[in-house]
Amino acid sequence: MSEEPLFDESTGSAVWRTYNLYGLMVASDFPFTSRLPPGPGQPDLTFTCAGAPPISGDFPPPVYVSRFRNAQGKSNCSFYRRGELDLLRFPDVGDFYLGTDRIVCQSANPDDPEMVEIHLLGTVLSCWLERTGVPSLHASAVVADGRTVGFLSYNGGGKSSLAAAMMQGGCPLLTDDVLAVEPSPQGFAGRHGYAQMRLWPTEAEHFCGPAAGFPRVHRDASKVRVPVGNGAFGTFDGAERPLTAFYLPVRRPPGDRDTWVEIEALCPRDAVIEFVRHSFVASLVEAAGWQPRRLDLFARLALAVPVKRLIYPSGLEHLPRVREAILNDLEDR
Amino acid sequence: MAQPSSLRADTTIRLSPKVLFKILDDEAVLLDLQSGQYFGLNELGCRIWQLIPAHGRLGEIQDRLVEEYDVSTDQAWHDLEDLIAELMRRGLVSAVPEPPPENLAESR
Repeated sequence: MSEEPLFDESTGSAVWRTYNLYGLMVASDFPFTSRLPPGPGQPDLTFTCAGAPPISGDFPPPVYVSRFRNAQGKSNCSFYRRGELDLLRFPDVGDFYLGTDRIVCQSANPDDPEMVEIHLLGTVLSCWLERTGVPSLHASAVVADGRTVGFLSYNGGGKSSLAAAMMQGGCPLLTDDVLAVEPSPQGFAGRHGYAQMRLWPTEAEHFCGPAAGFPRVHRDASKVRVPVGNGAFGTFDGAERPLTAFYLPVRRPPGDRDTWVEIEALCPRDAVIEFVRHSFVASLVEAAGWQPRRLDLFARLALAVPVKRLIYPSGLEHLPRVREAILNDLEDR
Repeated sequence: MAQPSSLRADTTIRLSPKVLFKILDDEAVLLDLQSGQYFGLNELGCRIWQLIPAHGRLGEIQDRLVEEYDVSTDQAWHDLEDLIAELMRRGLVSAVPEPPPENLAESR
């Protein structure tokens, strides 16, 4: 939870704060439940909720419609574009209007701000970053020896548990779930997220103890919110760090007798395909026609930062050995 | 579109204008802007892709492969035909329609 009051008790109005998130200064009066790092300086964009759309008139037909449907048969996500303004529509959550310096949400259910927050911190901000040419990968990342180590995977693919295992070994968390990358003087850098992880209850218990009692990410979700740093689990690094390696977790099936850890380097060609595959908002990028610039950036990223397949046994009890294998591999670079 | 079996040494191949090509070391990635799909090319595929705009005709590309890779003409043709057929199947290249034979054109 945020440590500063989110509401001004004397006026009853929300307090505006500036947060440093994915390399952006975001000013908002939204009552975030996640612990977002404070951001000094002028905001790059503002985020607020409104009772009405920020513009009048209709959008042209959507450029993207998700094939996944909600209980009412509506697409879970549609993407509209009109001039400088984009609209991400999530029927169960709300409409997010993305402009050059602001994001406005017209919530479908003002009593459920957590879903607004989950979507903003994931798909919406990833889309906003892609608009500006900053790709966001579906990855967790930690900092080892001052450098970013990323774990690329789908949901449930093992990235957060690997990051947590690295944190147990003393590596600070850089981000969980969304990793924005950008060219830097040293090659490429990873931008930090916020000091929180989303873990399965069994993972949270494994890393933090059975009595931790973390809240669920959302009432309909199974994962729990695990705060990071400030006396909670591990530490958080709120800086931009040069990227040194990406790993693609591949867990051996439970019951597989092989227990050793293998690390195989991918050629840059295959690395590019993996970056595309693990883009956070790949479908939106494709629909908006942003692929050419992203291909160019991913090609440079693949030549600058090694991508390796990390094959390891299933089971949290094996993670310390996996961590040692990763640290040895990083030392060998 | 020509079928793989119809490929001949005098068949001219054209790259799709809707494909982006990015070299990575000796290999390459293709992005089909129409489908949004990505494809990887190995070293040989990457070289063939580069030779197509300059040489077009498969026979000329075959000659260059024999020269550069020190392989037999049969081996070069086999590799070339396999790749071109696959690229055609995915719509990444096309065979340029052949003009009608001269004697036929004259008789019209």
